[in-house]
Amino acid sequence: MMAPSSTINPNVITTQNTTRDGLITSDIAPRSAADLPRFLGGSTLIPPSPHYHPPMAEPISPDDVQRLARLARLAIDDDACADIAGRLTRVIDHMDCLRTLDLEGVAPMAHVSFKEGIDETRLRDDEPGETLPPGLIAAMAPQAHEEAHEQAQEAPTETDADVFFSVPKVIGGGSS
Amino acid sequence: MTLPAHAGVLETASAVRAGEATAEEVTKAALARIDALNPALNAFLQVFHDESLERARAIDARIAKGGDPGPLAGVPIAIKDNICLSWGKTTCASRMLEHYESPFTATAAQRLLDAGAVLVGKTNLDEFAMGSSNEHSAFGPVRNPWDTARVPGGSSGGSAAAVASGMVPAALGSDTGGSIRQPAGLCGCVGLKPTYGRVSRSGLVAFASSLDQIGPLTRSVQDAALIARIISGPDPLDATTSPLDAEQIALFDDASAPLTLGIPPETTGETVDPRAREVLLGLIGSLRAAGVRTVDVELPLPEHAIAAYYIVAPAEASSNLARFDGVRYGHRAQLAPNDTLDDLYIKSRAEGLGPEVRRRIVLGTHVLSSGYHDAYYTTALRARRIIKSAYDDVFDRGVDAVLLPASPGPAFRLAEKLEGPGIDPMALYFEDAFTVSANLAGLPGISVPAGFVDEAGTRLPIGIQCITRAHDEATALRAAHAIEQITGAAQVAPAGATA
Repeated sequence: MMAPSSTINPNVITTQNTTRDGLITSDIAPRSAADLPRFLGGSTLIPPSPHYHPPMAEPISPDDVQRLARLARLAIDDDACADIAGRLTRVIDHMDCLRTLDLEGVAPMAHVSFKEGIDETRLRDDEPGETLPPGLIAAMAPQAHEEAHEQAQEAPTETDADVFFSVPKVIGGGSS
Repeated sequence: MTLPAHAGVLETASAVRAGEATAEEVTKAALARIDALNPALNAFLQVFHDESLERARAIDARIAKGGDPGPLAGVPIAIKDNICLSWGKTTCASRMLEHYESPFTATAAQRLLDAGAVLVGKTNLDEFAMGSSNEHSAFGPVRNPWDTARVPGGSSGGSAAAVASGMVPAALGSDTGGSIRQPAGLCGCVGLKPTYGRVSRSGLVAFASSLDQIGPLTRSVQDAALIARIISGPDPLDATTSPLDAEQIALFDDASAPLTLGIPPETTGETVDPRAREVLLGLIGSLRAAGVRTVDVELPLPEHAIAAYYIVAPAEASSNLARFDGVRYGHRAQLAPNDTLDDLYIKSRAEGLGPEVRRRIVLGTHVLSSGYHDAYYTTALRARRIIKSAYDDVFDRGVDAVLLPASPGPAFRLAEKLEGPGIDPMALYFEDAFTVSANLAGLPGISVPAGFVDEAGTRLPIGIQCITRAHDEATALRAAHAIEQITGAAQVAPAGATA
């Protein structure tokens, strides 16, 4: 039995009553005193744990955003890059609070597992099942739309497998 | 028809099954209310008038022939528009999928159909479920039915507004970081996020695959239990679905069973709006007076959970949304004669994806990129395990359910937390402060109305959530029901009368 006021998990490090200044940019302010005082008031950010020092919270520049956008195949104009850089720097700053957790020796958990230590991989037998007809898949594609519909109606099984997604010429460049 | 207005799921199905009302009458009434209220609320992106009436008549015909119409016979249900149906469009409230027609129906939606439900339309959401206010929809924001100048929460804001305003007795939403529970709280209805793996994600457009889960929004705990049970269970199309029996998900209404609720200091702490805090403190007092035992518990702080979540979720999203490339489905940009395959990707994504989705893809790309992967992504995954372990410890020590607010405060005004000078980019993310930990830990959570605050004469709902062990939805439902016994059934919002 547990005492009504007991603290249940002593292993979790809390950040109460500690402060750290200088990580939150000064031009960002809550709209009112009642607006998230603890999140924005500095009391949530504390000196890094002696156990763990990930190199975090480097500001993100507009050039960084441009580089990341290229990696993600996104086009973002210069004004938007500057805006996103400021926002992401603020978001990344907040993530610095993870440094206050003692994470040494803790294994990363990419997905939840409710049976620790047991191989719970549930692979089905490798048997062919029903799949969507290729013509139906191609019908979803913006470029193959009409052709696929016509083919599916005229010869539902034979020619469906012959439908393709249309893309610009890959080898040798040039037009689509 | 003897069915009262705003009847719940169970009440409606029972009346239709007993012949006291026809599915057609019930469907017509729902469609009429949707048509009347949707211009003010923008909760629905599509309404299936013809298909719904056709289906309702088929259900009535089956009943007339003596057949079993199913446990949801004739119940009108709305579907969040990131869940695929084989008719209509599945837009995810994105220009990218504005014209997308799914060739198949999601498992969860199919199970509702198999149970006799009438799926009357698709509800609005934040684009690709990324947002907490529904203001990130490409098709305009949803309005809160308690005050149309305010947000309904998000991302399942359309589903929450539809249920709270009495358009439908139930809707499906999806919850990646609170997207069922937070809007349910802000709109004053019940929202259940089942355990990760309870409900098949087949046919749910992926946002963050290790966190996403489909669940119901209703106006009663009992209705949430019924819908959750029907949509749960193993599915060969989603290898993460649990083999456990979905019949476990039920409201066992045993008032004599002891209940111990764990309350972390954050639940009534200074991050919670003072008026909401009063409501929550009053409710906790009433629970104690009703014989519920409460204990103080300590969990990782919401700011840690938010930090971990806004690394993990964008990381997974940046990978999942790579599929929207203008080739296989969705928007395809008009190309210039010499444009390359890369130009096709870049232009199509630039035109099709909205600002918040692009920001999250950039953030996710950053935390996964070479040199930052360990510092951010791996760190977040370690924090994720700590969060799950902390919940395990709390439950191992005899706590049945943890009580947390559904959101830091009542519904806020449109644009109040969106973007602009002086608005902290983290402000909207902190709306998820109390909900993301259940997703990171894979646990079930149910949001239930706790009461109202008065905002210049307008009543705004406050929600509270109960989080329990994995696969113990039954206890979450029992705890939520104990709260419902005190606060009374969820009320139907005025839905635009205050505009």
